[in-house]
Amino acid sequence: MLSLTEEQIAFIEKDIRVRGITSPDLSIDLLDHICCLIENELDEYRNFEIVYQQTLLLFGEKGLKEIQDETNRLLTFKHYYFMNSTMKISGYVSSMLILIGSFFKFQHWPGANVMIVVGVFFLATLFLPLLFILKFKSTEENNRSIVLSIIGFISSLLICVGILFRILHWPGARIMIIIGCVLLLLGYLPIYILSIYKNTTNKINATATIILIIAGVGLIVTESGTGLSKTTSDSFWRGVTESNDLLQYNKKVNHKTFELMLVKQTTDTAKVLQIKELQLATDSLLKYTTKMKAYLISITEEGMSAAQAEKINLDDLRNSGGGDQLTKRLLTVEYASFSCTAPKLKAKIEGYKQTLAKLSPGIDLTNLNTNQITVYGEQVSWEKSNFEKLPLPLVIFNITRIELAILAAETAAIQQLQ
Amino acid sequence: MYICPMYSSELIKGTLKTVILKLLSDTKQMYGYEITQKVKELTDSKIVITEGALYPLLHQLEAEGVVTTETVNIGKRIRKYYTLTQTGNERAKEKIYEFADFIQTMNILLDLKPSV
Repeated sequence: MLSLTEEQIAFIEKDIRVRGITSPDLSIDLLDHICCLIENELDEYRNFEIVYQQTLLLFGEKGLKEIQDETNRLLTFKHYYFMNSTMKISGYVSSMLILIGSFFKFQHWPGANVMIVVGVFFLATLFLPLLFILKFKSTEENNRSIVLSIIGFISSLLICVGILFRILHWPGARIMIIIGCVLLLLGYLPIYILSIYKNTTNKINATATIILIIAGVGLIVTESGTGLSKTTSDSFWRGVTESNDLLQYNKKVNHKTFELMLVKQTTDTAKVLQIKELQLATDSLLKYTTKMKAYLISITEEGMSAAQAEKINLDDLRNSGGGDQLTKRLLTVEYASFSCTAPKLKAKIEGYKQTLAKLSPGIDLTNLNTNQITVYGEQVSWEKSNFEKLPLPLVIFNITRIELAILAAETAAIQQLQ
Repeated sequence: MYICPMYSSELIKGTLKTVILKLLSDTKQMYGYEITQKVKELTDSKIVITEGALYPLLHQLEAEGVVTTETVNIGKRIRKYYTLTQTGNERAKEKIYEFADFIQTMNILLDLKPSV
């Protein structure tokens, strides 16, 4: 047995690297191992080169590289159980959250949206990526399976994130869901059907998967299609924004009239006082309703301050929900002490009506009626008819309607005063 | 996995870990080549561990914290010695016990006459 020279060891070390061993840790092991093997074989009759080549033959054709690949496989496999259990747990947790969240939503209980958002979030960030990685690793050298899992991953991610965006009212939700569905139907499904056609095992399972995919896409599409048609909703929103414009216009007109009247009536102090009282009463009531709208927008749209809400473009509230939350804030005893509630608005309107009646006796105040109204033969209070279980857009619209009625009453009062 | 002139690889697949753990628990520290030689010697060349099976497994065991390594300079090259950790010792016992139990079960199942 001969010891290898430094040059020979350096040569082997270099050759190992050339043969694709990149891990320094493994190359130490292999270098020592190969040196031991050679030293065992080497004697004065045999040439180092020949023995080295013979030794390498022991490792087979792809020998050395294969050892590194196997090591990497085993090392990633170490995380396999952890990833697998994380995937399962995140899958269970998110599906439970989504399920319970949906149930809460049907029951109009609070917390539904939070649960669904958290559930979909976990589904999109933990479950789907892990599922994809594990699937990707388990499929060996099968191009179709790799393509399949990539398409499946992208489309399901798009649908999940799209739904998440929709719940959060972020832009781009619709297009994501559509692309996801199209990808699933036209990309995933054909390849999947093709692959089970060739592979006869588990046909029942495969059929179930196909049906589930089609049914799922169908449900998503139907769900996206429910609600008002685009033209109806566009028309409604034109109404909302135009009422708002009309409101601003009327405010300006009345303000101008007041100014003109004050200029004209400088001598009649009693009249001036009356004009100022009317102006003050209207202003304070409209300030209150403006504040109320901003407050309601800010509590419905998470993360928006009341100051931001005051400047918001009403058209951006198209997808706002908030029905239950608004009902709670506006109508329940729990929030009765808050400054913006339906009973308080009603009281303020009543007060305003009294001022108007005092300033201009005999004025017609039917537009500001706060009595019960009959809806489908049922007596409903003014508060409930305007605010109960309505989404934010309708609540805002109703307040704008009330504001317009206030301005109309003011105009009428101005005319009487003139 | 193994180059095993005697046994089908199917038969001894999965026992390599137990074998390595047992060897390391008997001898305080061993390097890779030493392990292969030891197995060859103990089994009369009936079982020969290949490098392709040994090193990936050793690295996995190291990543799992079952073994630790210590490097020693041997002239120009470095030799890496593998030693069982505390968990490694327990794992070794577990594995050996499990395998002994398995053998016993197989004895019953296959109705083997104990060889004399």
